[in-house]
Amino acid sequence: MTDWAPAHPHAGILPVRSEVAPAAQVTPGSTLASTVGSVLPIPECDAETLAPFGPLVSRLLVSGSAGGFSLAMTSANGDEGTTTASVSTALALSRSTGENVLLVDANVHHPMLHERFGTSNDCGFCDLIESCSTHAGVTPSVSDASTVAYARRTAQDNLRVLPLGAPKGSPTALLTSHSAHAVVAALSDRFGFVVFDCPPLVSSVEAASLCRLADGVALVVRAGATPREDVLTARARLSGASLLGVVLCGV
Amino acid sequence: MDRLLEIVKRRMRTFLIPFLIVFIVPVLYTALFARSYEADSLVWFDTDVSIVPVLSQQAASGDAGRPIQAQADTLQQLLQSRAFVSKVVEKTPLASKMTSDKQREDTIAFVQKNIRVDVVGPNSLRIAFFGQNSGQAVAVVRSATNGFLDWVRRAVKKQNADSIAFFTKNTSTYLKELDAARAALQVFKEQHPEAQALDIQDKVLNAPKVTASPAVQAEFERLKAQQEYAQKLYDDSLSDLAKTRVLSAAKEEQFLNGLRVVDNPVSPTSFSAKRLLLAAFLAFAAAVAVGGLAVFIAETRDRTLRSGADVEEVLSLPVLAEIPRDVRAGGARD
Repeated sequence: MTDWAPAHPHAGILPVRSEVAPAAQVTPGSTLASTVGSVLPIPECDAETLAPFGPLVSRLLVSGSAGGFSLAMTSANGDEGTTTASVSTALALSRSTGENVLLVDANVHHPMLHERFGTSNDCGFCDLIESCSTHAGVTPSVSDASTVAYARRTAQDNLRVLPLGAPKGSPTALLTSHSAHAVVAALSDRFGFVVFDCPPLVSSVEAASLCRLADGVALVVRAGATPREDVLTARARLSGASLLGVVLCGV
Repeated sequence: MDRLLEIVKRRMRTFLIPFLIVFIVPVLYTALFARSYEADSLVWFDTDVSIVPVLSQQAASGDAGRPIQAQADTLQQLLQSRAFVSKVVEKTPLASKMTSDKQREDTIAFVQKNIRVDVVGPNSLRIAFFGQNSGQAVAVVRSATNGFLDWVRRAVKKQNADSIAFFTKNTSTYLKELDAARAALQVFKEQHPEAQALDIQDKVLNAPKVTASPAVQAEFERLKAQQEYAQKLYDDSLSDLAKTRVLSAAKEEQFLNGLRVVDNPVSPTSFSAKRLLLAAFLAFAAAVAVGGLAVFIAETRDRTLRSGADVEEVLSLPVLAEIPRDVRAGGARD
């Protein structure tokens, strides 16, 4: 069942929703668990797995501003470990800092976070942006209720996951719009750390735009797999973004 | 060294694939299609090997301390001779393959390539052949062994015959010189009667004393001494000739009785592993070289970033985290 507050198109207030049921029925043995009103399980991850992310966490703590800090994690090409790095970073941040952490799936080409956490992808980040009003003269804004509604709780108390959702229009236009900027800013205000799992830079246009919205960018590189030329191209596309450094996977 | 091991560990698949191909293919080919069967014989020289003639001075100059090596060298040189090998092959099943000049040449080359001669101890030679089947191997070894022994026997007999011929010629020469000396003295005696009387005086006891002129006396004595010297040479030469005949005959008999085959070739029951081992060794060396080259090429062409040092060098950016291989959060690979 869904609960909707009256919408005010000109006020830019997003409707409130409760947790929604997954769009697809869960079949026995599938990796997706039923998420209606439930807490999402944390992917299996021990201290040894998160230990390599210690220096990254330290770096973020040093870079953190008075409000929240948004970190965009991207790579040159796909299949470089960006989602794994994003999940691990979010977990490391939530466990070691105690701050509220939000993990956002911004990979419009290959969303994976909902699968990792066993939830549905029927609503999420894209819905949040679309719900944000863009009427002339009205500053887009995001309410606390909608943020909380879309972001799924997890077994880690201070960690929430925001899947990509189902964009109705062009994902590229959506993620490069003013509304996206407002959403990113709003999320950063509400959470201590926001980690964005972004699409690859070489093959997508929106990745660079998103990275420029974030407070910092970590470029994920798979050792022994990513050609130097692609990494240099990715770096060039991040001009204007605050590139913190490289996360090297598969060493 | 650590870096090399790290490269080998990282490029193990790049190394192993060409390595296995280059190693397995020739070994399998040798094992399945290039089998050889080895047969051998052992020839024993139960006598003073140093007296055995050798083919050439070149063969004899090998190792003065090992006369048997000279025999091995001699046999090696015989095996280089197409005429000798052709005679060896004619007594084997390979003879059926020599229907044309080209086939004859190929067959001779095949035998020359696959026959081996080794020295075993101070008095024996081993003759081995790697054939395409056991019957062929045995036949070639037997024929080569008999051919060599025949050659040695003929060589020993010839050596003795040459020696006898030498002394015979010497004796003949000394006989001519003796005849000439006698003739010269006889002519002198006929021309000078007092020389005749001097000769009788030397030969007959209590012969009346003869007085001859000093010139005649001197010339007579000179001719007499010349004859006696020629006689001595002739007698010595005759003696040498007689001794040579006796000794040569004795040595020849002793040698020929002492030269024998102590190990006749036996039909091999399985193919020879030596060729397979050699092929495996060579294939292994080649495979290591090819695998190493593949790794070298892969490393040279590798344009990826492999370490934090590479990242800092190429991008001038700090490394925020180094994630070990196969670390996953959430199961699925992304």
